[in-house]
Amino acid sequence: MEEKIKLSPDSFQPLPREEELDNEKIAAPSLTFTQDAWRRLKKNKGAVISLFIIVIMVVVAFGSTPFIDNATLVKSAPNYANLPARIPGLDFINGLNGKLKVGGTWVNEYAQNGASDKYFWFGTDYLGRSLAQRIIYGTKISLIVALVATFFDLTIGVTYGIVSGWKGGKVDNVMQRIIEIISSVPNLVIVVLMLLVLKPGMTSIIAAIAISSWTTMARMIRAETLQLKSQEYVLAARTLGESPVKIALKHLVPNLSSIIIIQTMYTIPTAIFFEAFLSFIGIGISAPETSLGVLLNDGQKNFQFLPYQMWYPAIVLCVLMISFNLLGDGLRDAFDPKTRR
Amino acid sequence: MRKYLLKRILYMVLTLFLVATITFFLMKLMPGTPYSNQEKMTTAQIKIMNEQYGLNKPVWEQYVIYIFDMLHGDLGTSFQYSNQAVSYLISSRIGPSAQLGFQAMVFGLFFGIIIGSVAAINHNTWIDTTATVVSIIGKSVPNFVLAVLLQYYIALKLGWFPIADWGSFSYTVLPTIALGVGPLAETARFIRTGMVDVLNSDYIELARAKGLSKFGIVYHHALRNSLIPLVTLIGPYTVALMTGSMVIENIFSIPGIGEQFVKSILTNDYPTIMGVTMLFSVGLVLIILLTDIVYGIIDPRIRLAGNGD
Amino acid sequence: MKLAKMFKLGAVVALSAVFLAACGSKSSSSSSSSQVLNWDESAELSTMDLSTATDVVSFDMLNNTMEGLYRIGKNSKIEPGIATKTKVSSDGLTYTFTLRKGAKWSNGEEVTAKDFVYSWRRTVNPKTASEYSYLFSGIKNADAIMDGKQDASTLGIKADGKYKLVVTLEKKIPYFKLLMGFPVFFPQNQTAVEKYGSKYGTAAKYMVYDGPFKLTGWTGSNLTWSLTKNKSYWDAKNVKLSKINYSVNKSTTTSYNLYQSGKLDATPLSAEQAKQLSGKTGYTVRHASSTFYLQYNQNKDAFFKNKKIREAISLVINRKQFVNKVLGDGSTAAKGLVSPGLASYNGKDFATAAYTSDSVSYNVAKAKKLWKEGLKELGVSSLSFSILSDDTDKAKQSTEFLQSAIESNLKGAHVTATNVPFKTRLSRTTSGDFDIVLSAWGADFSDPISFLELFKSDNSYNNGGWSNSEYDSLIDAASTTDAGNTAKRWSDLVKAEKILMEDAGTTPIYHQATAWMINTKVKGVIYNSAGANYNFKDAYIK
Repeated sequence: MEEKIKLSPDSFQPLPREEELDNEKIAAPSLTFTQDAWRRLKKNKGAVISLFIIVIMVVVAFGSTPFIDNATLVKSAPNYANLPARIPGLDFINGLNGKLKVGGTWVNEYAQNGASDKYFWFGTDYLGRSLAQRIIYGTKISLIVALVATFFDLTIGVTYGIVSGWKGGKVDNVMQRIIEIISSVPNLVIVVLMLLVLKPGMTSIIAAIAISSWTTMARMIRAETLQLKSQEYVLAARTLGESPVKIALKHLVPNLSSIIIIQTMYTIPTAIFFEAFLSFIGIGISAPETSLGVLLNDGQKNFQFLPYQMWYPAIVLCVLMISFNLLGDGLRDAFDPKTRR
Repeated sequence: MRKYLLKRILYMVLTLFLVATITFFLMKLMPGTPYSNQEKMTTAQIKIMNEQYGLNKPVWEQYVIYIFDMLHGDLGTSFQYSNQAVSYLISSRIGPSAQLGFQAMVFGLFFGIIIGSVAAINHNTWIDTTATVVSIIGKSVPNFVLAVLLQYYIALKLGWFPIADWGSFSYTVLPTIALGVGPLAETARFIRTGMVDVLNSDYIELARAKGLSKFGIVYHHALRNSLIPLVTLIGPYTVALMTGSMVIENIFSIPGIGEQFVKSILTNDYPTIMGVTMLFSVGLVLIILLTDIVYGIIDPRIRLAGNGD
Repeated sequence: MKLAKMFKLGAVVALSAVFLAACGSKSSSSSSSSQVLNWDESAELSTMDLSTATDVVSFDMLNNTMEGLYRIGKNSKIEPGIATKTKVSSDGLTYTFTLRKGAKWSNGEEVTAKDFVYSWRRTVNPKTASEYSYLFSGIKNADAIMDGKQDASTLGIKADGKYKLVVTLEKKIPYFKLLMGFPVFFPQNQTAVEKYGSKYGTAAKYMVYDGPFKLTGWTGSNLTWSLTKNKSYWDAKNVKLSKINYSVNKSTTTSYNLYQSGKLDATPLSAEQAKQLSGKTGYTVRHASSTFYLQYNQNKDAFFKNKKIREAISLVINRKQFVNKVLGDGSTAAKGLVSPGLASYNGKDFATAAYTSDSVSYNVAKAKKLWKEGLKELGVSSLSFSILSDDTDKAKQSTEFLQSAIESNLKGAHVTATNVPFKTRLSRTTSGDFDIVLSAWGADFSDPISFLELFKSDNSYNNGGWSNSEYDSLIDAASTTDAGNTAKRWSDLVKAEKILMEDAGTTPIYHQATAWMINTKVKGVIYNSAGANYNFKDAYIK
């Protein structure tokens, strides 16, 4: 005989509401794109240290503004000219105790110049001004130049590149010709002519950068955009009727981020060197202001006799560059969807 | 392809024409005169000199004459070197610059690719970190500083290479290194990033699964694909080498065109400035065209788009 | 003219500092037995056509490869060249030169009087566009010819046979013989000029020589060339060097490295190198008869009309500290506008006679007081202005030092340093587009008037608009009414400089010098501070 199993409604019990939800819940907290990037950036030790160094440099450079101003920079003391570094407490290290190697022997320059009671941590320049002060100020100027160049790269360069690559055809052609012309007239000519219109200083540097710095970025972005344009996900987005602006922001920019970041890391040193080059031919930063590029250029000329005048700015510049690059690498890994595994 | 090429060349000519025009008129705005002793010359002399150099005519007429002469291969005569034809000046100076630029490019690309690939294959190891730091330092040290260091330590102290001047191959070694380190560092960074991307992609997994050798994978797939972004960099490299050569030629006393260019600007030698500007532009535009073509050849995805252009 | 680059020649020689390379016996690696000299040059050789040459390198090469009537020797002494005998008429307006027989061009032709006539006519002909033809001014009809009013054949020079040359002047030129040692007055071989046409002088092979050396290896644009002993030179037996190799190095770091390795026997030094190397064997200072001075643009900035403001600026400049600690290359602190050693009378140097110590001393307290009073008179509390100068290292250091001295001592002064390329600086100065400009002047000839003329109201170099009628009349008197009376003329000029300095019409800063390292084995090099600088005819290697 068949036995019927009778299930009464009582045998069923509703689950508590919370439990039902719990099943569907993703263990990790939900993250936005930026949060996720930040999380992954934190994992990269090199990038974090670099970020830390950059923050310190920015704070020191910009924090110095109330202390190192025009009045400080303009003050000279030619009697203390060209003294090497001297740091209190480091009397036993030649090179940091006020001694300079002259013709093979270490000579105490401070005693010779009647400055035994002075301590210049990084030494002094040819007018007896503290090199430490000048390096801090120079770092500030170089950082500003780098920021400005990056700004133009990201605004003009990226937009120009995307538009040119995306539109293609005639628009692309015209836009590419414009870039060609801009980059075919040698910078030096543009810059010398700007001497006519602008006064030496920050304005002319910014103008010169605005004219010429972004072309490489635009070219790179265009080439990448041409590639990405035919990718399936972009085609899909297009088919679904996404507006081009949205596609650019949502699909192109994240996929271009790798190129953008690397190119920016390339722009920064280029901009800093460009500034040095401008100062060199007379329309860059004008005295008494200074920049790392100017300090390096001055230092290189006296390198055989006063090596510290070249090495200190060079070290600062190198540390800055390495930090920017490692941070850039970290950012790239963090932002690029392709490396999200 | 042929139609595309023709079109591109046409655009190239148009670009060059515009560059010539813009430079010409910008030049006319430059301050000063080409004469070094004007205050002491009589008005009659100045008049005759202006006539000789065609500076007495209205600017637009000078422009038309300049363009006409240029099309006939005549770039005028230099102000700085009296009676010297600009075309002669350029042709006698171009050799060292071209050689140096070429060597620096080859040096930079070759070692850059090697260092970049090695770094990418050993991704996230100490080799990678070392390669990265070395290439960043290479990028962070301005070439004039590097040139001075090389000259002092390698040439003067060790005596391995000549200090300055131009002659046999040994004279070119130090300037090539000083000039080529920038592109080298750049290349290494690009190759490394590109290759890390590619090595992570699906088709490399497939190639691995198929049992291709490591070298085969790197050479056939990874390298070829990472070279693509590099091609677009050759244009900017050329510009960088042109600018760099001005400094390097100066430090190593090389009779090149970059060094001459700076001098021409400082002495208001208009015809020479124009001539060299045009030379730089032609070089650059040609290189851009070439890279675009090469780009189409090495990246199959672009080829169609390129043809449709 | 002769602005800026002191190297830029001038006609005649001022009192010249001659430096036989210092004595000493430090060895260097260059071989001593072969008489080959390796010399550094800081700029390219731009032409060998003596009619159109404008730069110091060209004039140096011409001076050593060509021979004129005279050759300028040690201390600007006039030595015989092609001329063996000179007769001057009693009124001083006619010169008759007897020429040497047997002087040869390198193409075998003889150097004769007609080569001089041809060369001079070619240079003054406005069609040749010679930028230095102004030096002919004073020779009969030269000015009219250069103005295009007369034919070149009317120039006051004629050949009387092959070996006699007669030159007629319009007015007395006291330094005429010195002029004859300057390359612009050298002969040219008509055959060669016509044969090479527009290529003449554009490369070593398109040229003929009659001097101690021949130019070799110059292609017209390269950076290395040589001077080789000219066997057909009339005095070849007294030329000891067999070869001088030149190389152009624009960076003094490079040239000093080459010097250290023995590849160069002489190199100029940058300020920093000079400071470090002074006192070492081979360290040599070459003085130039030149002054660097500030011009105030009174036309553009009315506040520079205030004398106290100008005086205050002059008094805050510690010139001694500047030349010793900043420049450090042997330049000397300015005593006045006229450089020391240029001219003397009764054993007294002009610079000493006209020295106005108050105007070029260092006195901050007084400066502050004057500045305050000046500002009060103007009714302002601060003044902003820029200092314009070249973009060379030295010029940059100068403007930076001045800026520092002015801003840190004078309250309310805001100074911008503007460093631009030489030609831009010139054109800005000429067009009055500056506040203060750091100008330079090198004497064209050994007379104070060469400097003092600059500040006459109507002089084309007086770009700041300083003007003083008494000063003008003194300068006029010195060149007209008192020209024949040496004592009166002297006192006129001294008085004029004193007026200029007391009114602070200009602020002299320093008198320029250049430091060199020269191999001590090199002897007998003759250097004159004006005109063509170098004469290697008697040089040798010990």
